[in-house]
Amino acid sequence: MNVYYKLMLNAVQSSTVYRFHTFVTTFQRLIGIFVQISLWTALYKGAQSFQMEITQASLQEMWMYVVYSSLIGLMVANGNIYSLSDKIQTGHIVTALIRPIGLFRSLLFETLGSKVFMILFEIIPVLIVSHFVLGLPLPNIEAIPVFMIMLIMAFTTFFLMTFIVGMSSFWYIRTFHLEFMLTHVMNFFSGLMIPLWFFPRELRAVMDWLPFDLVYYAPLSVLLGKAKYAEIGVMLAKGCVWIALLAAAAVMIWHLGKRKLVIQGG
Amino acid sequence: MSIIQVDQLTKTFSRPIRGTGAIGAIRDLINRRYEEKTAVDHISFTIERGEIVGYLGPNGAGKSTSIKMLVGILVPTSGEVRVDSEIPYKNRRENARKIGVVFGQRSQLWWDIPVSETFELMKCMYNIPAVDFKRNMELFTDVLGIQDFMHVAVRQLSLGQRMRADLCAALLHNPSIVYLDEPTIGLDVVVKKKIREFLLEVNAQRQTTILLTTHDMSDVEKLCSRVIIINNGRKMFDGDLDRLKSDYSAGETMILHVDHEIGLDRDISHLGVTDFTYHPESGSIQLRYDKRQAKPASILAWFMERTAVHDFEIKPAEVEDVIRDIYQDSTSCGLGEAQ
Repeated sequence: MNVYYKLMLNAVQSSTVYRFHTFVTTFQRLIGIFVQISLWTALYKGAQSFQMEITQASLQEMWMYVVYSSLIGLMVANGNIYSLSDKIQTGHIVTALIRPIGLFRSLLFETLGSKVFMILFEIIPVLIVSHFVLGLPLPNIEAIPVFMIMLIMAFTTFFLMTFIVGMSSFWYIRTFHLEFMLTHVMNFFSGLMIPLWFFPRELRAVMDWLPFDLVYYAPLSVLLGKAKYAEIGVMLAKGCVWIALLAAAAVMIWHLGKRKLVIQGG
Repeated sequence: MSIIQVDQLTKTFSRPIRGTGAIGAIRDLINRRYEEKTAVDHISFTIERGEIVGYLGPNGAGKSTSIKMLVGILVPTSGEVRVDSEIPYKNRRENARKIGVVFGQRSQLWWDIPVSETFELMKCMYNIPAVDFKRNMELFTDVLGIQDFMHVAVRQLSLGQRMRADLCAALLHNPSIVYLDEPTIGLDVVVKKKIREFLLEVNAQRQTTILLTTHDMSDVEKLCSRVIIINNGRKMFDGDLDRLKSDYSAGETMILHVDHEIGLDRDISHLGVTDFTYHPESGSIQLRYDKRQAKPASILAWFMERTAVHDFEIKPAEVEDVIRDIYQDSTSCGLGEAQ
């Protein structure tokens, strides 16, 4: 059996240990969705009472946006920053480095392993609630293949970004502020909280060059059928370029970091 | 050819100098000063296949740093390390296939899943053939007594159990070199004994080279044929355990069981005795002397003339005392290399 596949299976097994944790997070996730849905509903109703029309998206589309962005959040999430900075801070990174396997790849497969469990116990429940309780339509089947490509791209982009931030622990032992920054930048610029179609033109122009919208906005706009063919093409090209850039940066930072490594705690 | 070659190996770290108090802390924020700390200072040695070498030194001597360079995790500042003719940090992954490492302070087992799963993972990681894996598992679980907790999650193991499992995991792939950084730290006598027997068995069967650091002198006496002692990053001694004892342990202790106290205020320094004490409750006199300067027989004769001696024993210096002397010597007068 391939070692990375075995690592993935072990991660699946590890994640089943904390069942209570899973229930709590799913519940928390649902509350978050309800809060956002209420907010958007209030906004739309408010606009209606002023005879204003929101043309970018209908209220139902916004509901779907909220549900699916939170699902994408689940799928792209990873523990890279915590896991790397913790390993470096405590010196536990030695136990990873004495193995004949790559650190990046083992992190990747462990993350993928935790996703298997997540799909079963977090994503499916949220989909059920959104379909049967909120009455939201399921996404268009034709959009699924392109969406899957976008999702893989989103996952990879975010994985590389967090890997780089986590690696910065080689220089700055504490990285929580960098993690904070990344989280807030992501929340705002990726389209997680507010879809990019509500953004002013100038800001959009800046963000078109940045990789953040690849993580949420790109897959979401495909799923909701908002992106045209040309736009999909541009996003795919942009994704490939950014992934190549981030991967190169990650390789570089890894090689520099190894030389910089100081084992904490002897 | 020697399996491990270390030549003029040096590692320096720069670490910030911290000011004291609030003012010092603020000054550090603005202007952080660094100092160079040499953890390993021009160390050279070679180790042959099948040797068990004790790598000893006080805390902070540079033992762990050296091991991390041998393993390929740390990049040396200068000097060279070759393990099986390769430079470890340049070929970290290939080197990792040939070695087994145990850090007594850190577990390498998978925290949330049973021990057996970690072993299975090792099987995949090092492509251990099924036959070897089965044979090793049988041998190791037997010698180390692992079967009792094979299917328990690692986080629920006791320290002794975890250590045994860690050792087993590190040796499953028949590594040709094993690095053990304080493998018996915090363990009880029974577990220590098991671990030592296990290491001797593996060494005898497979010619495994073992380099271990420890503060437990009985580990050294039971396992090592050779010791390397370092202090402040420099090598102080390199040679047989026996030579260490004969060269450095000139100090012996004699215990005499006597009838009654005799005038210990009398000067016996002419006999070469460096210090003596009388223990009234056991009726014994304990005295220490340097055997290069004193004749135990004449000391004994001197006492027998003055009192009735029922019994006597002579104790050679413990390895621990010898090593402590070397540490102290080297810090006080910077003793040169003892080769």
